[in-house]
Amino acid sequence: MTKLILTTCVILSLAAGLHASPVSNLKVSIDSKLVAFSTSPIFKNGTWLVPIETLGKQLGLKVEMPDGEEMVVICGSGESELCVPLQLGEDAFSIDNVTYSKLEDLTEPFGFEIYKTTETEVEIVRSEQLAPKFTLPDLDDTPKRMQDFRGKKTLLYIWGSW
Amino acid sequence: MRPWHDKANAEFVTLVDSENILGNLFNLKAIPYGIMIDEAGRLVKSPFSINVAKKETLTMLEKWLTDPAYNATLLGNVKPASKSLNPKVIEANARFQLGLTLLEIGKKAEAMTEWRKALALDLKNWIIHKQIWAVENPDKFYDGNVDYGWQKAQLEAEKEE
Repeated sequence: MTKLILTTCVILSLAAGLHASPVSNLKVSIDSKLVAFSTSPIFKNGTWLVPIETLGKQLGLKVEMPDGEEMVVICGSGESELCVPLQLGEDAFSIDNVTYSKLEDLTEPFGFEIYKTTETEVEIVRSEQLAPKFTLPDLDDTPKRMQDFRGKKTLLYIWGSW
Repeated sequence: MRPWHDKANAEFVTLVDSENILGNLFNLKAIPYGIMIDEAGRLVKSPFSINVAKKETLTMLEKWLTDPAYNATLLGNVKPASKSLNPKVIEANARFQLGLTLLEIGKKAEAMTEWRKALALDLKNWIIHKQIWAVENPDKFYDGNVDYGWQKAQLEAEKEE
């Protein structure tokens, strides 16, 4: 009996939290253009939940909600045929008739990368725009990844002593 | 690389690419080349022949660092470098890599053979060309100063051959 009560409390707490803490100041950009959300993203448990339909459309993704299934299916377009199911209540959340998912779940499986400009500003970067990734040793033989220089403008100057 | 880095009192990070990883990634045939990457990791300007002694190059770089709109303009114009699918170039790269490995394990003669085959397949590749020169004539490259006069004379001699 104790177990049942505890479980119920946790679920209610999550649902109440989702209603109670809308944060309207997440700015998301794609190709340097700000995404206009009709419903604000929500910050919950250290992560951003974003309206799937609005952002999915901006990213060129197909969003389907199969009848009778407690899930949302997100599919890539173009060359990517990947489809990712998000379970409602676990990976996706319906709040006031708007379905949300974690920002990462809507971007990373489809090759997009998230660049955080600030805690409330993110840029979604298409994989084809990214410089190729590599790892090379520095003069002390410490491996450095190209990604280690994120957050700074970087001039890669390739030269040889000859 | 350390002597050049120290002599310049360099504050930037120097990475050592002994396996021509960047040459392969960006399909480079010569150096020096510059590649501009923004804060988000996006390629802003594909490999371009760079000379930092030129005022216009420095002006362009300064503008890039200070003007966010210029970054966006460059991003809009960028054409990512495509890796060559030319079979000859692919074979040349493979032979060049093999030569580097052979040199590392002390098989200098075999390395030179591979590099000469690589150069024959990709004649305009100056990375391969200079690698051959540097290993054949280390005194012209690694005795403190690089002898560019010798390189010029060598090039003329090779043209005549």
